[in-house]
Amino acid sequence: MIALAVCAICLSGAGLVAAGIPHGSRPLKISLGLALGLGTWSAAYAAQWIAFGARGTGWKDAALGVFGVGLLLFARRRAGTAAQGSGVRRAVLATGGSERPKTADGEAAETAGAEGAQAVGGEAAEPAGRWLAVLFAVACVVCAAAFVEHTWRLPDGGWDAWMTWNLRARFLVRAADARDAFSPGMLYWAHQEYPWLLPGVVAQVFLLFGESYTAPALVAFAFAGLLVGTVVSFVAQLEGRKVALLAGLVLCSTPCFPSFAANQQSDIPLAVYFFAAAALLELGRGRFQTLVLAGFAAGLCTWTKNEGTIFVGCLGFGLFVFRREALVPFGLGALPGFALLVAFKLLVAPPSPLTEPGLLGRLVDPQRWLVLLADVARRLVYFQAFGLWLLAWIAALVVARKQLRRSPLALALFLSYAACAGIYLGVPYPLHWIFKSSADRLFMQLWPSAILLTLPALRRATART
Amino acid sequence: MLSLVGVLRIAWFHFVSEPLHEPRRPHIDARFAKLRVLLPAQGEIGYLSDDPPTARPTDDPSPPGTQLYEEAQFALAPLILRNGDDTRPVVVAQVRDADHLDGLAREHGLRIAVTAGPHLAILRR
Repeated sequence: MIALAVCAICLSGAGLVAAGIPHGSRPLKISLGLALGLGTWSAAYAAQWIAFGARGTGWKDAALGVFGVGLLLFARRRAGTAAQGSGVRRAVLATGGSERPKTADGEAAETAGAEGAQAVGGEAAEPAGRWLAVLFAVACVVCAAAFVEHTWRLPDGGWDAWMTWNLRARFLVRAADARDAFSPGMLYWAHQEYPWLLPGVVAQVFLLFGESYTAPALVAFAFAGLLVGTVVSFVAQLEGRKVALLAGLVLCSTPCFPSFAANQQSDIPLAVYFFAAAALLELGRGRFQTLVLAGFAAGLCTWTKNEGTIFVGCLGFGLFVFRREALVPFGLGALPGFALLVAFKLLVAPPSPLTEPGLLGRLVDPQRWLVLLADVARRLVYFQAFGLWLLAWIAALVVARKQLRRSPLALALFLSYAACAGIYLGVPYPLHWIFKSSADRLFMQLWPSAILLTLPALRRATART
Repeated sequence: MLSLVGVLRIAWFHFVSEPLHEPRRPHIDARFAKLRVLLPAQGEIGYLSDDPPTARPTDDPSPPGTQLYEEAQFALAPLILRNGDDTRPVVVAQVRDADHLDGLAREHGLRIAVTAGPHLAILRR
């Protein structure tokens, strides 16, 4: 069963990546493939339970394995057809250091327009500064050690981990009727209405290896590693190794990153999938299947946390405004994850506390606006969580504002933050308490995508001055 | 430079400040281990406390009573703890002040069936 589960994760991830980004670098394929494979594994577990009431992993894992092999064969056949149809020109591209075929139809898409072409052909060939690589390695080691320290100190993870995510995993494994996991009989602080990608992974690890305190910690570590891996490998593909190391360094030197990773909560998985969706959109200019894969990652976002749906909606709006041609493939890819979320919300989940009466009154309450503005202002200089990165990011946005004007991701991030503000105002909870306990995590969910947005734009802005 | 500041902040917090000021927390399950074996494996049970959890979303959930309830729910899953419900055949009582246990049971017309430490008990009618 364990081998079957490993095959299901690896093959489905490899198949998705092969179909979506056939010419991606190997590190990118590995990190993104594992992230998507893990998410698909969890989503399929939820889907089989909602559809058939089944909670075993065997048949589902076998089906996922077959699905992965099918996608791999499809990708191979497609690559062969493209090579025969348009003739193959060989070009050595420095990104990933491998020789990759460039077909007539793939060329424009792969290099992602003029900027992408410049990045892949130019910056990618530039050797990364040795000092940057050393600093990145040191940051990774410090982060990993901090993760271990935090896990040792808080062995059940952060508050939300045991109150919501691992509680759900326990129910899924222990309860005779898995619907108990979403029972309105518990107090709503258990957030029974939340989607459950992370609990789905942890529950299956429990089923395969038996319940332990190690399993959720290892899953959390895996997601943190995958986040670093996807950020570095994606930015390397888009902008070259030097910018990629810088992006990884920014992420790993953000003070709240190792703490949130060790907290065993859904924020880091959400960051992984939202980043993957945003980066695949960048990579997939003009390439239909890459845009579908971006949508698929966005679908996993929606299945990770409620905020994920908002972020994906904002990303969709950004595409609608600036890249309308990408909207259809993106929407097609997002469909499975979104359908799963809708099925869960309609068939299983209890109502959200957002449906508590008085929403309009809270939204226009000047007292709540004042509290929110004061809390936001205080958070901008919250050194403990962000170091100096938040201020630096705002400065970078000002410098690179011209480069960001027509960016769907820039608009999506702006709208996401605005939507979060609206949610803070609208939720029935005491505002100062909910802001203090969640604002840093919201920041971390979007931070990797903010790095993806800002670093390349900043590089171009400073190169032109 | 910014990265260096960030890395130093991580190192300071996790390897100096936290070890000095934040003691290691024990597993939540450890506190409920004795109680758990005395309870049914599945279903719904009542939950009472001298410091009840916040029951409405509009109330501040930071008082300790909410945490006590949530910890009990986590440790005793897949049992569903129905807060304030004294009509169930089995009711778990968790008190912050051990002296309140008898009074809590009496107040709800229940008797203490089993205690599992000074702060935890199973109440029955």
